[in-house]
Amino acid sequence: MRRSSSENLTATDTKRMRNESDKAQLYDRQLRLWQKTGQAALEGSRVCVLGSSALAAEALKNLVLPGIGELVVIDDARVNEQDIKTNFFVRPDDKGKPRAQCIVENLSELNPDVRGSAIVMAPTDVVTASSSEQENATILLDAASLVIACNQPESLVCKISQRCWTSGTPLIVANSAGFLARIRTSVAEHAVIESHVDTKPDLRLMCPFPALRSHVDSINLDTLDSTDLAHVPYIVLIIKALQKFASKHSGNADASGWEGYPSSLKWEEKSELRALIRQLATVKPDEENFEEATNSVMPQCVRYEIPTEIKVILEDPAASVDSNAAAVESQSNMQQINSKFWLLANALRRYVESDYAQGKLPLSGKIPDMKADTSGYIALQRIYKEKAEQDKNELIKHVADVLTASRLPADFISQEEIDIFAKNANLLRLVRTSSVHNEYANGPSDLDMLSMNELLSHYALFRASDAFFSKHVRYPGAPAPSTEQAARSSLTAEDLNKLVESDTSELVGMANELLAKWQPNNHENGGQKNTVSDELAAEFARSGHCELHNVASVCGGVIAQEAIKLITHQYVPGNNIFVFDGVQGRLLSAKV
Amino acid sequence: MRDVKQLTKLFGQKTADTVGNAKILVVGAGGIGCELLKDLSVSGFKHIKAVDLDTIDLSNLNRQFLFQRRHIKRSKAQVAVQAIQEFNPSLDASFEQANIKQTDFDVDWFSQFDLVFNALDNLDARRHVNSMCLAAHVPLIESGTAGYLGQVTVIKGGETECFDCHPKPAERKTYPVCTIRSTPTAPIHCIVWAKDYLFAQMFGEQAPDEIETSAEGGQDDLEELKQLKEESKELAKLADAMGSSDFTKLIFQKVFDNDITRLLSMKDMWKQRQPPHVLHFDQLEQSTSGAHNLALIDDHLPLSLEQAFVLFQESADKLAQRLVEEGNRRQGAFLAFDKDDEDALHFVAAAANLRSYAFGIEAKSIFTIKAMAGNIIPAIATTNAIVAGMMVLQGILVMSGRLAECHTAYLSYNSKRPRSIIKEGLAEPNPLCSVCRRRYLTLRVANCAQTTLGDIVNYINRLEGTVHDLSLGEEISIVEGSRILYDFDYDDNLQKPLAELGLGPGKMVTLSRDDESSGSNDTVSVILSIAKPLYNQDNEQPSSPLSIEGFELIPKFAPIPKSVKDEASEDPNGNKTSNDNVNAGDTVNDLEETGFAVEQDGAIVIDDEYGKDEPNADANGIQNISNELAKRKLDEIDANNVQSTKRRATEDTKTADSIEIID
Ligand SMILES: [Zn+2]
Repeated sequence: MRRSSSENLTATDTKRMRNESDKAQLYDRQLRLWQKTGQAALEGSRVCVLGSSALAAEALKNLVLPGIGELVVIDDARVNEQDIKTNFFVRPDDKGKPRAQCIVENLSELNPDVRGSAIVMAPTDVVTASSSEQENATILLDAASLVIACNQPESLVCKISQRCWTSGTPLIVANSAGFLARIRTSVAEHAVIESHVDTKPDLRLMCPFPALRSHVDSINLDTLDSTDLAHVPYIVLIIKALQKFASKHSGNADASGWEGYPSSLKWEEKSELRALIRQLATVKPDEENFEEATNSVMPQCVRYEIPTEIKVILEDPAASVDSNAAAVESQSNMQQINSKFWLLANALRRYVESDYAQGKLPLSGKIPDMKADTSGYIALQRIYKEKAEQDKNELIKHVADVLTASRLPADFISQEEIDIFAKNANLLRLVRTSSVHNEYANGPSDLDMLSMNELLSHYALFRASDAFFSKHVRYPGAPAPSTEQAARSSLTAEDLNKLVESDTSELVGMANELLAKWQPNNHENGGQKNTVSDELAAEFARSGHCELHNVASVCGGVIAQEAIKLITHQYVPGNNIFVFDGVQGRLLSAKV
Repeated sequence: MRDVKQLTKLFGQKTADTVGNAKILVVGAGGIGCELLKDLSVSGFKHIKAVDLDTIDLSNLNRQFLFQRRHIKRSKAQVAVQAIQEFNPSLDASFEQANIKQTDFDVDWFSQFDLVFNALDNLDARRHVNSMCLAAHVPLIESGTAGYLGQVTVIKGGETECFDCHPKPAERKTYPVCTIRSTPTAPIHCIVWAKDYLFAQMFGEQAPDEIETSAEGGQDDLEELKQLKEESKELAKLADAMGSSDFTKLIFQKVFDNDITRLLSMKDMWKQRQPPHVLHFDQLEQSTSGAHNLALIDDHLPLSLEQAFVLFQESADKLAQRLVEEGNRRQGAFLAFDKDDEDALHFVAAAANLRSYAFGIEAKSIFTIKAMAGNIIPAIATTNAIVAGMMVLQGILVMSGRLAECHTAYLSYNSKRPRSIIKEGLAEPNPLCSVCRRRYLTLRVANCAQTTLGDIVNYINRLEGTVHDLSLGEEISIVEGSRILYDFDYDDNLQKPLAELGLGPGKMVTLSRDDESSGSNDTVSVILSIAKPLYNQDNEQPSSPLSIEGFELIPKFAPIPKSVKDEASEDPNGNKTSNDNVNAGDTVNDLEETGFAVEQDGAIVIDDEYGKDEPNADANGIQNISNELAKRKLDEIDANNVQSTKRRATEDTKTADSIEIID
């Protein structure tokens, strides 16, 4: 039987649509958080993980489920007794098999859309690249959208960090020791357009644009009866009151109030404005819309200013330099996100400086829900939307200029991308963290914050534990890995206790040494010298650097959460270091 | 075998043993449940039961990782338990595909567990488990997540805040009938109209119109409501045309033309409002003929009027066809709105948008309407992983007797905060809580078809003046939820057997002092959990001293509110014991550890009836249930601990106005 080509096309179309609707259903609950754009970024990403212990597997589980594009696990460890007890993604009969392969196989079952591969190779070999296989691994590492290093020694982490820093790839370093865990994120530069930050709506009440002015002028409150008055949106009420305020203070009672309209209010003037609003309510002063109006005076009646975070972006040299087309076009999709951000920021700077914008950002066009009748609300909504559309069209011109200056094709940035950028111009965020290799070489940059946020002790002990490993090739409380199998069986409880005891005191010594190195001026300042507690150090040593599943589960959640933010470029990444203390149930964070 | 050495290493052998012997109930095998079951099975817990009524859906798979595509439509509880069993074959794991509110899960059933984990997504079920755990005196680890937000807390009756100590915001907002049916002003009003009125009337279970004609708004409103009733009736008639070719046209013309025309005729209604306008079927049909391919609809963009029109017809046709086919198979077939049912969603989205266009309200996309109509809460794996991991850590603390170290943890998405998990010590119970500041007693009834409500009232009156006096006074009232069963003015039910009143094992009734002054702050009330009698293992006979009423009352270690304690200390029977008595025997510690006594309240009440009359009585029966646990816990208490427990008990009795009654 022959089928006509048009029928074939329909069948293919139907299948494609079917797949899309299937995906929409599968990912529905997360699309509510990061929309189609975020999902597309996830599906186009490749995550490279060094290590395959429970911590790595738990983090990966949370990335495979929402559908990252590809995962690569690099590790040469083989499944042992310990893994079978703590790692949910190895099976009882996997003992002796390469662990990276086992977890990739089991994780892949969770989501057939994710391509998974395992490279059975010592993570340390990745950065030395002496054979072709290692070279391949290095290439994989360089092409990753994100690298995660789980329970890897400090020396390797430093090398990986240098590599990632150069290529602009975000890196997450995670270590766990019993009830304690540390998660460090680092990224040279990370731009967030859709930050989903909760801020007060941009309503321009202190600088109403012409369309808003004439809308307010078209409403005569004096002719309204009590019901209609109760349906006037608070935006209109506040502007009316500000007009009254202006005519009162300009000394000319006949003035419309646009003359001398205030651009900001002092504290006591705000109370005066609230009184003026209440006076507008000639009939029933306790209506909801009037209450909304008086409540909005405090947050809304302030001078229009570009938020500090956005100013910093606009003043950044990167927002003033034309891009190098060749360099930008050769970038990966992930890297292009930052490049596009700077092109848009450059256009935004030009826009803000233009006569049209007069120092203001494009309007987002969104107004909050408020007490109003449908027609009044929709009218306002349209006015704000139209202004936002105008602003965007103005911005589009500047984007075109920037693209031309950078010798990039006019469609290098799509209309949709400009649209999202313009809507979020008020919410842009730029994240630059310190690098891990710098931190390891020079100590944490913000010791006070670590101390203030109560994680200095934990931090110092994790660093000391790394140093301990560099020195002894084993973690505190753990027998040397080469003799591990033999040692575990022959070690008596008493031996182990002795080991823990001596390791604890060495660890405390190392941690205090580090602290002293990081705060050389402490004595001069006469300040309290920070020291680590023996108890916490003992907790480290007792753990023997073993993994506890629940800690891996919590931290796997935190790692994946930060990874998703970094990959989707949505939501703002947290501070760059997290410490989880499972005994106390605390997740602390700070900047280093 | 997967044994967890780490737990032993880090928490000690005793905790590892307690955890290994504990019987755990996990309510809910969804987002948090899957994570929780995994964590429990890898953390040394061995005896685990999971309960969930739900079956697996495609939209679960982005986070409920124990499920795969091949499991769709199968029981969540079953697949989840099989998955962890496969991982750890030495587990004693079992499941029930059931609603946790079903009456087989009565107070005795809950009592068999040492710890309960709530991994539920709805307030109603969470409330229910909260009160069952209070009644059964089992500690509860409570949890919830929404997007990036999460929360974990520990509930132990009488010692901590319970789930109901503070009112929770309602899950679903309700709207006035007139706003939905006559004067919508927001998209949500149109969506509710499309889903709860139009869809339900057309395809749903034939239910009597929900509108009550007792309007508060006077004559005008009454008139309007009458009209609305008429509208519903007409619509119901149209449903008969289902399957005919002009079915969708008839519906459309009815709701978007005739009904709106009628609304417009009520001139008063539109004096203050912008009037709607009628949608004409023929006009729309002309403007859309052949031009609008459904495939072009983007789920994420607001529907245009034409798109909504085409989608309305297509989805209504499909739903009608399905219902007709279903109706041929069985009588009284109906469709229930399901947000994941594409036809149902399209119908609601199209109808809601058409109504929005008629009333000049903003149009919405299918994607947005799905969330609004389906009360969708965003959900991701990461938050669930963090919350479940925290829950198990709390569970280990509870099992090792370290309740004081437990806490309420909030996971916030604003991770700029120095504490990404905000931690608070467990709060004290709200003294006015109507759920946990009540005494929970178990009422054992041999035959609910015979025992009448009057029997219970008599029995309770007979307790007056004895050590079991419930201190409710002479006049009591009995309610189940919000249903009044008995009070001073209402004795219609006294002759009715419990069964006839819908009461039986698994149900709870509240006894209160029938006294207007007490109000809702009445902490004297007693909550009776109805249960079956405990049977003696040897002869399958009720072992209790069967009274004529055929039931017995077991005051099982109920935390007694302060006001009651005052009255109890004046007990004329002199059952008050001295502090020495408390300290003399290990019994007290034994009792405390088995949960027979609540030490914070400092009052220990043991029903003497059973000890005296029947050596093999129920008190022992209960003891047997908890015996294993008691023994384990006693083993754990070293000399040091016993001393401190004693000291604490002594201090409590000295400072608090409490008494201990020991037989
Ligand atoms: Zn309570």
